[in-house]
Amino acid sequence: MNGERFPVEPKVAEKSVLIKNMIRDLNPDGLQEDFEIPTPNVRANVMNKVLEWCTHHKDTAFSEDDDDDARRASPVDEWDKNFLKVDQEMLYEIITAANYLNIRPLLDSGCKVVAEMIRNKSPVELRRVFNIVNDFTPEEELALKKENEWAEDR
Amino acid sequence: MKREFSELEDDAPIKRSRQLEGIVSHLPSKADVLDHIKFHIDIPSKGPTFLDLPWDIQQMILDYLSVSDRMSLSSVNKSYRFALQSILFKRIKTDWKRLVTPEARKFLDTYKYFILELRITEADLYGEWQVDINDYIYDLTSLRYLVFHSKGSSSWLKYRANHYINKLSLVQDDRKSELLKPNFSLLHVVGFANLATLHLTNYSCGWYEGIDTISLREIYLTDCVWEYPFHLCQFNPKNELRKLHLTYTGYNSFVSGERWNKLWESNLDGLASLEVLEVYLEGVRREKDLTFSILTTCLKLPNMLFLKLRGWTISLNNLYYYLRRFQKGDTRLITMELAIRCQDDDYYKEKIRDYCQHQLGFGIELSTLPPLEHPAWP
Repeated sequence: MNGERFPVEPKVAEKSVLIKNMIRDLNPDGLQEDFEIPTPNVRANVMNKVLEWCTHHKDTAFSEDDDDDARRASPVDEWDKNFLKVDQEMLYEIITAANYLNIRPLLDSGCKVVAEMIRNKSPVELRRVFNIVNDFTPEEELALKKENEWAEDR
Repeated sequence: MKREFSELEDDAPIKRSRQLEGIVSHLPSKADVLDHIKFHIDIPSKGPTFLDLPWDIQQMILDYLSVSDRMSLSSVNKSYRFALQSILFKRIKTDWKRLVTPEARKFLDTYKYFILELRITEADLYGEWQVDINDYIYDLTSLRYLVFHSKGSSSWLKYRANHYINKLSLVQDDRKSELLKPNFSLLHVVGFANLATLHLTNYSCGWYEGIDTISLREIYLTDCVWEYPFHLCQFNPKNELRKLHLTYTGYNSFVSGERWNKLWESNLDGLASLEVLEVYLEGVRREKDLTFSILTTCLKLPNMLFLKLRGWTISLNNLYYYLRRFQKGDTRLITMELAIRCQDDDYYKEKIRDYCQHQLGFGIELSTLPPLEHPAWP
């Protein structure tokens, strides 16, 4: 987006399945020379963070398990947890970039971190955490509580 | 406070400032004033928020959260409410009394396109016989799954009909002895023309001739019993049943009795279409042996792909010996999951795994449960 270039070794870039497939499709005989990939949807500072993650995990063998339950149940990697201690705007941008670039383990970690921010909080606490303005009247809030009783909770 | 402030917003600026002063001067303490003002002048961040995330990512995040967390998030403001309403009210619950209120009408009308599942939480004879549930769910065009907690026979359902529903659960919460279990028959649900999945808990299954308008794909029976001349194959008149799940819990004379043995002696006759068979004996107080003939019946069903047996008793060396009597091509099975009551033995476990995988061509997940401590009558 900002015209910046981020030279990285293929192993790092290929953490992104999108890029990995792109390299493979356009270079069926393997990479012979430098190969430039435009990522117009990702801002430079976000790309920097994403590549930091890819570099750290370049030798991590992630399970290619498609089993959603197993992936859901696994806790967030400690390093990822610290890595994702960023402001919310950056966190959402990293998640969006991981989705666009198809980096599933980073996307999973990001989603779990956001879920953790939401978990076990009252609406009042959530408004504070996410900087949300309450636009319900007291009457509407009462009606919400009534409606919520309909939601299945088991 | 908030109401007063929002009223002020509609007024002219000068008048507003004067009125605001008025309010502030009436507030009890400085801390409250600051809180009050801070609350209303918070400016949301200009960057992306949770709501700016693509819909599928929002869903991924919500998948990690409990219903109460989703409720809290959906109650923060109107935009969040709007974004979360489809997931919040996909599965709803009510009792009969509430269902017939004007409030329910309003709720169901507001969220009619999102509701996929409705559970009636309490047994109520008046509701079952006097309220036609179809009057209330007729407009819920996404609704596919109905759950009824009940206390009697399912015969009231004979007078109900709905063509959207493809999954139905009938639950008797009270555990009753075999003789007192209320009656269920397919005849009772013929009005649900598209019914494909049926869950029954604590029912006695009965039979009437000539019901072949329903083509069930999956049946889940928990602590259900049946009387002669009923056979499970009578759930399969069109030969389209793909999955049968049986669970028996606690002390159960039915599992120890003749009709249970007859089920297996019949070689599951009439259930040739089954692809998935699960039989769980959870905490039954008398051991049930996994015999060679039962294993043969399960493995040799012509379309059987997934077999799960839990709580049966068999030693690992006997299991190995039985499996050795099968040969490649005897079964179409892809996966067998066994959690059996026996002494653990890694040597035989390994041999069983090896034989299933390499000689019989299916994967096996094998685990052991402790033997029953007092395999006796209560």
